[in-house]
Amino acid sequence: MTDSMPETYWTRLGYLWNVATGGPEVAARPDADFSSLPEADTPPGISEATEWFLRTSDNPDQRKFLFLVGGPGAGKSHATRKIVRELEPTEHLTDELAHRRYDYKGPHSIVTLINDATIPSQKYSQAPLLQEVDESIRMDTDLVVCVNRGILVEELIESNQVTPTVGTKILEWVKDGPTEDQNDKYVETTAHADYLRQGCIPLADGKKIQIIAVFADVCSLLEARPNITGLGTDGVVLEPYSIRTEGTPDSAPGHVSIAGSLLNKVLAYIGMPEKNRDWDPIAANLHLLSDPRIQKSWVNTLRASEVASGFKYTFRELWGAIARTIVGELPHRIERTELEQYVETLNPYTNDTDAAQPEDIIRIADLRWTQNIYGAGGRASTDRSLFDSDPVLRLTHIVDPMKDALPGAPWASKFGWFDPVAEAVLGATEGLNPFETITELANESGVTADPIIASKFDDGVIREFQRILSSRDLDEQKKSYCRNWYAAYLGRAFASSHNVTGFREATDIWINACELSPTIPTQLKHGLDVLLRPKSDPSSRRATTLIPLFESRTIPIVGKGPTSRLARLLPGFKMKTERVGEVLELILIEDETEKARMIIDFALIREALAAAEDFAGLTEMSEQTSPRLERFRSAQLQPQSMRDADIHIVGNQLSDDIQVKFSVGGLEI
Amino acid sequence: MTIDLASGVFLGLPRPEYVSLPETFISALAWSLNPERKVDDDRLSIGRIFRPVDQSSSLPKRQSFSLEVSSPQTNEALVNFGSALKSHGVQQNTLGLEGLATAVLNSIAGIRPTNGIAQAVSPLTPHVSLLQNTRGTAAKNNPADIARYIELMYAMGKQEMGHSSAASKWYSASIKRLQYDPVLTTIDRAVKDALLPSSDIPTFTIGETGNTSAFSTESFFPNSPYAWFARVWDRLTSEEWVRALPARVWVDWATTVLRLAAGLGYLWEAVWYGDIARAILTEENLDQERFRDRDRTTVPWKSSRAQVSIRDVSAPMKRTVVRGRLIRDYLQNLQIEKSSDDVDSLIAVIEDLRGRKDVTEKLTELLGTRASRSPNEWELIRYALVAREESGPYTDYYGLIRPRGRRFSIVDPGTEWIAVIASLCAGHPGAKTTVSNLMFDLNQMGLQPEINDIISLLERAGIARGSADADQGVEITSAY
Repeated sequence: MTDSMPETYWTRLGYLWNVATGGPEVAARPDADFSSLPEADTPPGISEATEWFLRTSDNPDQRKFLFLVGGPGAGKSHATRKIVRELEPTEHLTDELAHRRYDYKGPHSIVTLINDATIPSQKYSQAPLLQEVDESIRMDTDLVVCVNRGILVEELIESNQVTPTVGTKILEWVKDGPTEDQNDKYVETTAHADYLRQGCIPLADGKKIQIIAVFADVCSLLEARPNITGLGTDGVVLEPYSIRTEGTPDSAPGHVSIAGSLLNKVLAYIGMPEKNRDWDPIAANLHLLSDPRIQKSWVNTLRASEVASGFKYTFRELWGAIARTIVGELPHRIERTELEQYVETLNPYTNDTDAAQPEDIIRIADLRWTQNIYGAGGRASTDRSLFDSDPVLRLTHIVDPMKDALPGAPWASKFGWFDPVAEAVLGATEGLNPFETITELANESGVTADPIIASKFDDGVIREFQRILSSRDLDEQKKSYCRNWYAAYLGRAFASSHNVTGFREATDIWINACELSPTIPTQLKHGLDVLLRPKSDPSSRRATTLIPLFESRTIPIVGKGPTSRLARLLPGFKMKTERVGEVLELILIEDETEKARMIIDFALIREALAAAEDFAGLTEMSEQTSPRLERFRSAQLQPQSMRDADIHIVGNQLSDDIQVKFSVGGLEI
Repeated sequence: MTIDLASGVFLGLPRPEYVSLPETFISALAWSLNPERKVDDDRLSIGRIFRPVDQSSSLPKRQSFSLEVSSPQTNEALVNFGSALKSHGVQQNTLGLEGLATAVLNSIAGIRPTNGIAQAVSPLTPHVSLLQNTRGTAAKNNPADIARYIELMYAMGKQEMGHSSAASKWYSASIKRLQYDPVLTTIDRAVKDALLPSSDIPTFTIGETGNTSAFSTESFFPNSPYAWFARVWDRLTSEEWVRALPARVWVDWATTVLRLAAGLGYLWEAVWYGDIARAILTEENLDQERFRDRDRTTVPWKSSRAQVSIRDVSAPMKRTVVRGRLIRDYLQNLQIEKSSDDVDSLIAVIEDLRGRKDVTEKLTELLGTRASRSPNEWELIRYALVAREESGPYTDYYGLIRPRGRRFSIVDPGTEWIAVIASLCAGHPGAKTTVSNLMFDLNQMGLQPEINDIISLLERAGIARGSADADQGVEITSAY
């Protein structure tokens, strides 16, 4: 789609309508080439691998296989379009349908493109990708494959039924990485990072195949993009993917994420309106977002939502978040062509009165970016299901700071932040300026930087609400509604000035655990200990952990139970973590053997943080995490673990646990 | 003359009734491999329960059968069981034999219902499973034959029966577990010696075809919950799954599979009869295989984003069951003029009945019937699929449906429900599969959920991460 309107501030804003709700174009084209919006950087490895593939090889006997692995919206199709742009197809397809396979004439050989491995193959009914890889080797062609991991799993399951081929070994290498078995090494791995693998297969006739697999969605678009140099050469350097949120206070300067960079490009592209208006929330958003501190906060908000939801932003959600941040839900309410007129008429002073009506101010102020990004005041206010279905809100609403308004001030407390807001709102009811209240509180604590980053637009909102809240004419019910709305509005604005998101402690600990992996951060380790091996007597230092032997739920026995029963004394075990990309797993090790593993996610961290001293706490996530924890513990009850198990009888009738020996061996059959 | 069973119209499932204690499913399979003992010169049948919920009050007397309690009811019996444990290798000197016996009995006890007279035993081993029977847990002389319908469903899900039956598969798995687990071996031997009467000599007879009826291949339904059940039951009862799962988890998983087989199996049967009625009322050209293999919805699993009233499954499922039952009863009693040789296939029956106005009028009426009463099938289905406890120590994480208020029930699977289904879909312990394969299994069960809802359930269970590969390609790792 090409827009033919002349480019103005308003038409440039209007392009956000194209990307506001995602859509297949956004997924397939991160460069948004259907509009004039700026082009995003590619996920790490994509553009480098594209350049490598397009580089004419000095060795005509060397074939290139490129695997772009990941789900929709990761930028795979965009990369392949760049690769085949200059190539001539061997066959001109006249239909408009998307095909699985395309063949092109390359400089040394045919280039086969498997554009979408989820489309069934016309040629091969069983394990088609594997057979296409083998065909490429047989026919001496270059190969580009866009595939998701599910297809790799399916193909390799199917391949179990046939004799392994070189194609099988290549797909195994792409899926699982280098094998430990020296005798089973077909692919020689020459470089390896979470997001990219480079390897080589020498063939019998002196030829060789160079393979690069890029895992397009391993790295978050909200983290710093790792540097890659010399891809395709022996001197390749792959910077490890390190998790360090751009928004966190101690992040290294210069770390610019793909998302942060794209936001900057969009802001530069859109520019500012020629005319200054008192009540223009969109211009206010553009102005605020141009502040590096707010940009950092914006990236941090999205990153926190990623951690909390366990869902990684693709370009689809990222564009949706940018559109939502700048123009809120206007794309759902008005046509883009109506935008200028809409903004022109935004005015809370209806009926030519000097006093603005609260609902009119709220209608306009709810377009501030801090309201937009969490869906505050939008359609979700009346339709809660949008928090599950809207591609952006379903991620961001979890970390709305107003869900977690912890007491304390950000300059005096690690996670507390809401006290200055509460005081400012209270002061406003007595006619005090909330900004001044917050500044005074900050100054009293020796803070000299702006304690709240606001715009002229915010001044207007504040002035009007100060008047409304201190007015004696408004009925108490309406005043209470206004006070609540205003506390939330001011709270989100204040939170954005201090990098605060909801449940920040949990998201910070998750990030910290990723950074420190395989070591578990102290504050998390204690919580996990309490969850996984709570002491049967928390008041005793030497108390042991006992889990019931035959119960449906492996809830550790704490204190004296209502009845006597058999329990297993948990042997000592170690815990460590393992991180691959964004997946952090907890591993339980007993006698140097891995016994079980479990994903550490936001829910589990919330649960671990709820532990107080040696007692497990309860959160709204307990129902979600309990079965997982019980499954993890029950690994200690597998039949082969029972031979040397230390079995006890526990119960309230007894003064102490009593050890029981089951000396009989298994049945001899 | 009535429609012949061999025509393929009727599935031949016996009438069920609700199963108050889910542990009964496995015990029923166990008893199907053993001869039934009677008392009073073979006049009275025996109902057996593990132990009464209220130990202090006496059990109600039954005229039609003898109700017996398996767990020791006297100190002497407790000591006897403790001695048996000791003689089979349990060593402990601090507690008396009574204390030892009590702790073991408490450990193998199953669900303790708030209503009802019996507390179940968890069927952890072959002999422990015999400590209760259907007559005892249902508290009636002629309870529904659970083992028979489970075996029929298993048979209808297998193209070739070989020499297996659902019960023989279970027995083989239980014996395998004893090979690895010394604690359960001891308990099993002690239970056999001390808690099963000497006249109840368990034989665990596994005949060549188990206890199943002979089924022709025409009774094979490849796209049905029966096929899913047969496949996953074979997997779950394999040695690798026995070795991977803790004893109680294995029993819970097996019970979940049996609950689903029973609940979805009877729902599918009702949908089948409804489909036959509709086929008679249309002029559509039918192909027997296609008709048999078409996708059928058992539980209408709506999007989690829809309103509760739209997601309600209670009313539509009950309607389906009531209509299915009425149609089946009508067709079973319907007199046909042609001989069974002339209408020897499903399609022949349908085409023959299309010409009869009385039949089409009656079927039209039956298809429009509103659900007013609750047939036994409905009670079984509801109890099999609905989560029993939503919180507390007996929380049922294996239910498929949850009540919402008094009027509605919605599909809201427990965390472990999806873990069981997805892990058995993966095939082997530790194996990986994809959402695409899982959706195939769910469709076979008659469930058509939204893919995003499934991904969200998998993420909640901690066995998949949705962000890496979207949609069908999401990779699932077996829970064990």
